[in-house]
Amino acid sequence: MAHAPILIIVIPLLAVFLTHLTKYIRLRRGAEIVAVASMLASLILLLSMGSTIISGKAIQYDLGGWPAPIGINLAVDGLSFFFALFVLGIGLLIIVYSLGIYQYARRYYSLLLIALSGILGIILTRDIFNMYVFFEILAVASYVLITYKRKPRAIKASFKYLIMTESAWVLFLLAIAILYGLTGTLNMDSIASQMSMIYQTNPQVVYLVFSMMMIAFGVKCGMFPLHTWIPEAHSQSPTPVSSLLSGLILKVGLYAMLRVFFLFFGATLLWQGAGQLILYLGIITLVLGACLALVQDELKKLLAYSSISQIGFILVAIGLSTQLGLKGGLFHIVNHALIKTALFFCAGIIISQTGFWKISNMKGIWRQMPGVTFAFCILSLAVIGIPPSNGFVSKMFIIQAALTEMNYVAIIFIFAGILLTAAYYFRIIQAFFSPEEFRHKPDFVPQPVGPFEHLSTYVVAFLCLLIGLFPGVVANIMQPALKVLLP
Amino acid sequence: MIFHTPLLPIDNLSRFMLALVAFLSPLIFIYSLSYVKRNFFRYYFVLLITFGGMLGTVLARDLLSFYIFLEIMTVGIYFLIIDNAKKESFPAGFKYILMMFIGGIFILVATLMLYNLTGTFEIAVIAGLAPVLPGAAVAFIFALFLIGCLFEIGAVPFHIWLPDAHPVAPSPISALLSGVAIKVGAYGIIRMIFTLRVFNSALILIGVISMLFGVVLALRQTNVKRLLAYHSISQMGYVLLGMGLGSGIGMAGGLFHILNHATFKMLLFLCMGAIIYATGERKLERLGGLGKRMPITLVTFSIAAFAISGIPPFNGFASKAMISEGVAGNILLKLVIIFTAAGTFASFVKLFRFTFLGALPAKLENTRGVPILMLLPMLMLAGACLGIGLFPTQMLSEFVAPAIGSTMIFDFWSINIFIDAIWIIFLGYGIYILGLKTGFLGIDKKAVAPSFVRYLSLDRICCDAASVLEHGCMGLKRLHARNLNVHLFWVFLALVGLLFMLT
Repeated sequence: MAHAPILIIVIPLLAVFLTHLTKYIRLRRGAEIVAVASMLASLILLLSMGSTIISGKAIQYDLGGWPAPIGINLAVDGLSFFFALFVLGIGLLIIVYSLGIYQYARRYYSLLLIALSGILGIILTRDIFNMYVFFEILAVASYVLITYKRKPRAIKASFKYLIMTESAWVLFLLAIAILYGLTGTLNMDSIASQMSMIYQTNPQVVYLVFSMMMIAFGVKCGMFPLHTWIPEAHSQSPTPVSSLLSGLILKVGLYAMLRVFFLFFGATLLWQGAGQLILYLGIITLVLGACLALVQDELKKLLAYSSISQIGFILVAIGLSTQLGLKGGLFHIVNHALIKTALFFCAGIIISQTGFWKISNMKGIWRQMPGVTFAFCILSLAVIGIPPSNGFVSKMFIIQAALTEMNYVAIIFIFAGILLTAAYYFRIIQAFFSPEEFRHKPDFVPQPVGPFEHLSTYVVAFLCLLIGLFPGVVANIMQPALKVLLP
Repeated sequence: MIFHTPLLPIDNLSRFMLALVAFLSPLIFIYSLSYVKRNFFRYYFVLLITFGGMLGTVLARDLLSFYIFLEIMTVGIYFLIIDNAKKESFPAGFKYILMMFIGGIFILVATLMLYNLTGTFEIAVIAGLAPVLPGAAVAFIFALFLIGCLFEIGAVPFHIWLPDAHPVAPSPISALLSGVAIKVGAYGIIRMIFTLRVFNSALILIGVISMLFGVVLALRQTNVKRLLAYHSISQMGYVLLGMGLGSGIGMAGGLFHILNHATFKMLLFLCMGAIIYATGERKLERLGGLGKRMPITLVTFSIAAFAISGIPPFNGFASKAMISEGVAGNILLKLVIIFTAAGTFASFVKLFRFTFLGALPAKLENTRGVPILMLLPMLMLAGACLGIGLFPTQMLSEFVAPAIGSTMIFDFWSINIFIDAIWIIFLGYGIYILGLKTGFLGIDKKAVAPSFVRYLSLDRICCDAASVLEHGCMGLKRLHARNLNVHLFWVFLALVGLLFMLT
């Protein structure tokens, strides 16, 4: 078990090859079984480290036995454990959801596994160049996943995503190069230890590095004004991929922001100004996303704008960077990942059953699909932050953090954001319960929706209520992560 | 942090409200058995959640639980309001839920600020700490909490959801909304007054404005349920006035009026529900002559109408007498009370005249009575109205006064109260005749609607604000170019901007 950290990343990566090899064995749905099994194996490996992490220790692993400043170093500490746990959980859910739609699709599952192992790599590595490599692995896999159905609009959306993220990664690479030139190391801990010295001698360089990294992570997490790829990429990709994008890929940007910024700049004076900057950018993101969602008629695009808005909430929490604020932010990362994944699942079921993409066409579908509508209602209440759902708990922490900091601007805009969120989600609910008799699209053959899709949706909706009622469980897992961020 | 306190009544005030919720809500359950035809399962599912939320708010021992249950109740009521699934019920429900969320966030922020000050959500502990807290902060928190609760109550100027939500909801739900749900907001205010030991005489102003505003607009309505909804605003004005007086008698009167208003307003909504159920009509122009067809409804309605106007011996008079005793000396407030009661009487004369008397329209020839399950709750409520009205002294000393921790004796049968009642009847009838002559009552089409009223209407202002917001968002959407070059330009602009701001 000493090799557990690397195995968590490598098992899904090896499974990629296995999924293709299942072509040669007589196993029904071999690729799916391999995908689920690899996720479960990684999850079990991760959980085996749980007790160590919860007690506040970190597990270090040197790749190939080379010690830290020279070789690549992986580390499982509170923060990475927390993120890896929910990535694996939601990754598993996404695979389970896909089981119904993509049968015998080896290419699909292998791409999904590449993306997931890329995410796990980003989370576990402590080498900044290695992080860049994993980001690229994730990006390449997700470009292809978005265009999986080869629709022209999806290809266009994916191209936009490609150009935007790659231009951001170029900046990230440049930032890494500058840091390497200054410190002579790529290990994050070693860079961090030299950071305050560099800041004293040459603050301009630190500003430059910070800005470039901010752009890189901002594009990934959808911060204003870098959010522009999100709506199209989310709405054009297949449903599980939308969930992957919204639930996990946006969160990876936030993880990188938390990890790198707090490690590198958290101790420096820069962080005070930078925190304010993130806070105000978060406020703009929050309000802008909500305003755009308010006038959006396409369901998946609306959900994408809603994701932008919710990321704004998390950015506000990160910008506050107090104990309570980060608690709320981390909690909201999990909550939003869960909720938005399931909301995309709902949207996917509705779209594949009715063939309609626009909310104005979905009037009165609650009679056709009472279960999905019910799940959608619970999930939208959770996004808005209505008790007793998980979204309430995290938003309450964020509001409380803003109150403790006496940041009344933030409170007013959080207030506005919650109201706008309520407005656009109730607009959808209102359409779903509309009295008009639902009319199917002419000459549309509804695709069958199997038990897997429903199961994964309901499980998450139930989980949202459960976490809302017992937030202490998640808070306990979060405690070591907070300790990593604010020692 | 959440649900760490048990749900048990804190004191007699909680028990009082618990009795109110727990005895009145089941009547709605009975009434609905016959009233609800479609989506039976969904209706009762949501109704039970709402009931649970209501019970939770009055049983909560900490402010966070109060907020949580309030929101559960709100969401439940939203789904009940849209249960009819008519075209106009969706905008009304939308307005309701958004305004409730605004109020809810005020309450949440006040709660969290109180937590930051005291380190606890528990009401009993906060009450103990209240004297040593900084006065300015406490006053601010109280103001926030008060605004939140005023949204829930539907007091002017936060009332705009109320006249829209009541008419579109199914009648039992209107009764629940007016009878129990808005009382929870009043409970929140009283609870906060007792916890923080502050009170705000702004409540008197809000109360008076609500009373006058509600009653004047109620006179004009021709939709039966909308008329009753405006009376809810006006009657809650009495409650706020009583609380704002700050004296023991005012507080007791306000609390007593909560109970009385709950019984007679529920009864009124259930009566009108029976009429709507029997005829399918809710406009006064199309009703009339139903007295012979629905005699039991006529009797129960008359009892409730006398009660709401404050005529002895029906229950409304008792609490109104206490409140007007509380303002004794202030001639202006006394006049407001008399005028409001007279206006109420006038509008119920109108309602009575155009539903039960007159000629039966040809369309309603086949009207028959309503099922026994609907009559039963109505008769029980009518009995309650009469019972409380006949024994107000016992009610006050046994039930209402202990709730605010005082022992109070009040002479309900003094001659002044009867003089007031006679005044109300004469003045009310006068207003009715005058209104009929000038067309103010809105029955015939020559009704005068001054054009400036349109610009003063808060509803209109809110709708305009909303449409401005929507246009703004549309503009924002248009500004959002779909051009990749532009977006890349934004990325590099952001980089430059970040550098600029950091250095």
